[in-house]
Amino acid sequence: MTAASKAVSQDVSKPAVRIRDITTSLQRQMARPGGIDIEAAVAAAEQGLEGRREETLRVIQDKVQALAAFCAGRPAAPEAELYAIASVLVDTAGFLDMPAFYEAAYSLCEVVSRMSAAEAWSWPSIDVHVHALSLILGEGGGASDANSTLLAGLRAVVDRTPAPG
Amino acid sequence: MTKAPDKVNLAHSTLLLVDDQPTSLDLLSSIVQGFGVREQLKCPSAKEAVELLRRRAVDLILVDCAMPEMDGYDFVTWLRREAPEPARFTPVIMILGHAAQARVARGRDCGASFIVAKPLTPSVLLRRIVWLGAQNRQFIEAENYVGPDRRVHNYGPPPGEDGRRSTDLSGEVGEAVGENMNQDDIDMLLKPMKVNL
Repeated sequence: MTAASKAVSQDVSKPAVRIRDITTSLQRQMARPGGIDIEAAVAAAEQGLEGRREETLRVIQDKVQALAAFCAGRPAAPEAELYAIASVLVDTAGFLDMPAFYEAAYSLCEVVSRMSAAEAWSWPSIDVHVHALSLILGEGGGASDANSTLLAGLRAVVDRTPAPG
Repeated sequence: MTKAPDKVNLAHSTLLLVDDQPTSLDLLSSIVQGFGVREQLKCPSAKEAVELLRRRAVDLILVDCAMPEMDGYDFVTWLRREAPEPARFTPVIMILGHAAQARVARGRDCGASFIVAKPLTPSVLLRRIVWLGAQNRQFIEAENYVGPDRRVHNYGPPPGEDGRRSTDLSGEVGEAVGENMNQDDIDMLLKPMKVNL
């Protein structure tokens, strides 16, 4: 695979900036005749995700349990580990259609990030997120009136936490 | 307005997926498989991806931002500055979980072609890939930045695309909607005038 490239201009002023017109191999490969309908490609991808939904939910359940156990131990300097677990929840739930759970996990990331930056730790703010994550996951992670109420509460917690800067 | 493409051809392309989370890597793999990709290579760490790219080139890289040791930002910085050609020109889509604004800016400044924030849908990801396949972005090599031109919004989205932000400029030049300026007004704009300093 070669990328056809040519230098179209060279600015000799300092610092040197080189601007190149590049045709990437992706562009060449995608320009070849053939292909599949975009709608069909999206549908096939969504079907692939759906096929992995059950096993992914089990991974998320395990992570939520690990999160609860970690917090119950009230470790010293929990920020990095807690953020790492919350990040995995965001990353994994971000592939599935479970918006309420995703928002709760994202909220946990945000509150940990803010509290770390402000050096103002509050376990109750974490606990409320952990409980909310368990409840929302128990309902499948989707949108509902009950989940909306829980998420409103989490947003209030985040709003009370000083933002960095 | 030019019609957006209704087909995508990834049947000849090799994609590299980089994510330290096995579940996320598998889910990403499921998505690109649905897109009809010819070959997908999976790396559970950026360091393994570096080793792979020293040996062979790929057509597109999807990389998670948050990884231990070498994260996605450092990986893309390495790719743009130290990888052999043509690998260094490879389009990169960074996938971002917890998307603080500073992280989005960091992704843009390390040389990623696009940053896609989760929740990730196949539709959004495919649109970005189609965009990368259709658009010619110049490649900038400067002391402080190496990567695709970051001023992508100046070009506007490809024809048929609605764009990502309200401030995206259209790639289409439409018909004039107002009257032309009359010549006297134009002359006044160009007329040298004495000013008091």
